[in-house]
Amino acid sequence: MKRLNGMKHVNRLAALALMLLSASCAQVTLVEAGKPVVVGNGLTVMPQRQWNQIKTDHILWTADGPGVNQVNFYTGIKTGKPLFEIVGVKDQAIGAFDAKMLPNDIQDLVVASMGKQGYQNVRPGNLTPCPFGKLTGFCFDLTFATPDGLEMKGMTMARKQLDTLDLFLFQAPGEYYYGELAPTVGKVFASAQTN
Amino acid sequence: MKRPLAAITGLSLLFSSALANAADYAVPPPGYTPDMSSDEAGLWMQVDKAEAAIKVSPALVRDEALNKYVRDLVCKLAAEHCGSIRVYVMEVPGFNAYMMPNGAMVVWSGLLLRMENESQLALVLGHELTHYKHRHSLDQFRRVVNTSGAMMFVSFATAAAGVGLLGSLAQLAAVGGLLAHSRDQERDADVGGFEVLAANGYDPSQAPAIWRYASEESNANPNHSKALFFATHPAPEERMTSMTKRAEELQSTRNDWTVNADAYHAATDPFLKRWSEGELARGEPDESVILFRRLAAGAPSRGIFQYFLAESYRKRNAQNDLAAAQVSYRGALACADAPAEAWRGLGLVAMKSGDNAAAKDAFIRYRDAAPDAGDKAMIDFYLTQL
Amino acid sequence: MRYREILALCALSTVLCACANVSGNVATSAPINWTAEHGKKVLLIDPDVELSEITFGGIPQPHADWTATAKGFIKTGIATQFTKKGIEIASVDGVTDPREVQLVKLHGAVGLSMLQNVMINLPTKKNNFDWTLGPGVESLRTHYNGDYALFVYVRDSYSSGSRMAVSLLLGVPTGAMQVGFASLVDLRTGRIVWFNRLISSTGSLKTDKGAAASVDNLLHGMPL
Repeated sequence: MKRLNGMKHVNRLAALALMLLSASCAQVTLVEAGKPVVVGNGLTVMPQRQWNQIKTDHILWTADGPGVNQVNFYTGIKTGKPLFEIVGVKDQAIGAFDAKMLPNDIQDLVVASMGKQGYQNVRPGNLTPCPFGKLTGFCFDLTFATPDGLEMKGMTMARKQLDTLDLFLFQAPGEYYYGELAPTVGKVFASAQTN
Repeated sequence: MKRPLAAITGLSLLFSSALANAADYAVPPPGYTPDMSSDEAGLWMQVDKAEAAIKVSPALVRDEALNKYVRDLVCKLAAEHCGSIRVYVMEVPGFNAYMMPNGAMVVWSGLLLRMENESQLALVLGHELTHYKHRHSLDQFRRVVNTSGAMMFVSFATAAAGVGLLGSLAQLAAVGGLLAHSRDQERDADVGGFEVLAANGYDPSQAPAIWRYASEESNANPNHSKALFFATHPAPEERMTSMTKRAEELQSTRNDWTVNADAYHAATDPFLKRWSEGELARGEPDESVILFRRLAAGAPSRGIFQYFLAESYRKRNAQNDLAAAQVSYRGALACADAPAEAWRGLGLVAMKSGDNAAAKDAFIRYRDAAPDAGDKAMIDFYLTQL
Repeated sequence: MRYREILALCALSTVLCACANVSGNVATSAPINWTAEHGKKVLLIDPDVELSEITFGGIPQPHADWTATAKGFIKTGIATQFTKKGIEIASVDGVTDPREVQLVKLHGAVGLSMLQNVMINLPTKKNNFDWTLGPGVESLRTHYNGDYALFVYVRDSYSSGSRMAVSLLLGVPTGAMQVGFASLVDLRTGRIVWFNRLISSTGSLKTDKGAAASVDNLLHGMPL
C-alpha cells in the first residue's frame, strides 16, 4: 500500500517550522504589553503581555516558540484563496475560502487546512456566534495532535466582512500551555478593532 | 549545491559495486532479531522507536474487540510468523496499511472504512505480510544507503508511522525521488498477498476491486499527487488486470470461498461514523464523494453513508452538488440510522440556496433531534437570520 | 523528539572547529531545593541516544550496537556524577501513562524551542530563562518520587572510510559530529532550571572514557 500521504504531511509541518525558523532570523520582533498592534486588514489588537512576533505570510505571535504556542492572525483572506499557505502544497490543493461560506463551512475549512499542514485528528467543537470588533463573528474550539503525538487545543475567532475573512487562531499544547494562555489570548481576541 | 551532489551520485555509483550486492533475503524465522552489529539492526533500532511512538500515540485505536478482530485475522494469515507480528490500528484517514521490518504492522482506519469484507482486508494484510517475509524494507534500505543515505529512508519510514520528524528541506526535495518500496517489490507483495488470500480460502474475486477503489478515488481528485504514489507503485490498472486474471484462474479450484462480510461489518460498524468524519476532515471532497457513493450503494439501508455522501457533496459544492446533497440528506433521513446532523445539512444547503423556510424547518428539527449539539448556539443564530 | 535537523543547523556554525562547544543556561529565579522525605533523587528520563556512521553520501546510518553501548556508558556516567554529589539517579524508561507521555512530548516541543533559541533569540526570552512544562509534572514527581527530572538527547556520528574519501575528494567536511543537550526540570513547578547544549567535533561515545568526558561536557554547569 502507499505510504507517502503521512510523510508528505509531516514534512510539510517540518518545512513550516524550518521556514518560520529561518524567516524568523530577521523578523522576530517584540510585542510590548499594553501597546496596540496592527495585525492586518485594518485590524488592531491589544496585547496584555509580551509576545514574540514573527512575520511571514501573516502575523504570528508566540510566547515560547512556534513549536509550543502560536497566535495566528490570518487577515483579509479573499474568495478563492486558502486560509494560509502550506509549504509543499499547491494553493488549489489546500481548499479555498469563498465569501458564500457559512460559519460551519469555514470551520470545516480550518479543520481540513490544518490536516493538510500535518496535524492529526483535528476536531472542532462549540461553534458559536461571538463579537468580533463591532461585528458579529463566530468562534470555535479545536482539538488535534502534532505529528509527534503531542495533544493540542485551539481557539478560533473569525468574521466575514466585505467578502473577506479575518481569522484568528490560537493553538497550544493541552498540557499546561493552552489553559495558561487562553485567558490572555481571549482578551487579545476581544480587543480586536477596525481602524 | 548542484555540482557536489552530482559528484556524490557519481561516486556512489562507483562505490556501489563494492557494497552489498543482491543479498539473500531469507524469510526471517519466527522470533528473528538481527545481529546487533548489522545494518539491519540499525534499521530496526529506528523502526523500534517508531513503533514505541505508535504505542503511546493518541491516534492508536485501543478498542479491544476491533484489535482482536484484526489481530486474529493477521495471525491466521501470518501462520508460523504470527508470533513475530504486532498489529496497530491507527485512527488515520487515508487508504493505507504498512509493515515495518521489525514485525510491526500498521493498519489505518481509512483502510478499514474502505474495505467491504474480510476477504478484501485479507488481501491487503497478506500483501503487507509479504513485504515483511521478503524483507523488502531491508532490501530497499540497502539500496538507499548506497545512494542517498539511510537517514532519508528512515525519515520516510518513521514519518509514515506518524512519528514526527523535522525533515530538512533537502529531504523534502528528495521526497519525489525516494520510495518506500520499488515497483518490483509491490508486484512481489501482490503475488504473495494473493497466495495468502487463496491459501486461507478467501474469495479471490474480491481482490481486484481494491485497486479499482484506489484508482477511482485518486482519479477523481485533480489535486491528487499522483507522481508520489504512482511513480513507485505499479499503476492500479495494471494490478487490477493481473489480479483479475489470477482470480479467474483460481476461482474454479474450489467452490467454498469465503468472503466473511458479516464478521467484517460486525467488527467495524461501531466506528464507521467516527472514521467517516475523519475522512471528511481530510478536505478532499472529490475523493469522499466517490468513496461514500460506493459505500452508500453497497448498503442502501444505511443512512450513515448517505449522510456522509451528502456532506461530501455539500463540501465540494461544485455544480449541482447542493441539489445532490439535498437528495442524499433526504435519503439518509428515510433510514432508521439517520444521524441528526442530516437535518443540519439540509438546513445549511437550504440557507445557501436562499430557501429560508426550508432552512428554518430543518434547523428546528436538528435542534429538536440533537439538543446538546456542539454548534447549537450557531444554529440558533442562523434561525434569527432567516 | 526529533531535534536532528535543528542540531545539524546548530552544528553548521561550528562544523569546521575541532572543539567542544557548550552553551548553558541556568534559570535565575528557580532556586534549587529538595523535598526531604525521600532524599535527593533525580529521574533520568530514558535518554534519547543514537550513534551512526556517516556513509559516503554524507548521511548518517544508525548503528544499533554502538548506540546500545553508548547509551549504557552515558547512563553510567550520569549516575556516577550525581552519586558523587550524594544524589540518587532513578531511570524512568518506557513511559506509558498517557499524561506522562504528554509531559515527555511537551518537553520535546519545549526542548526544540530552547535549542532554536540558542540561534535565534526570542525577544521575550532574552535574559529571561523562564521555560516550563507547567505544574502537571507533579504527576511524574509523585509517581517516581523524584524532585527533578533530567532529559538527555545525544546524536553522535562517525565517518566511514568511504565518507572520508568523499570528503577528501570534494573538500567537504565529513559531517562527523557529536551534538546533544540536557535539561533539568523541577518536578514541583515544571520550571526548566537548567539547559545545556553540546556540539563537539571531537570525543567518542564508543569507549567508557570518551563517554565520561562527553557526559562531563553535557552536564557542564548543572546546578545540582
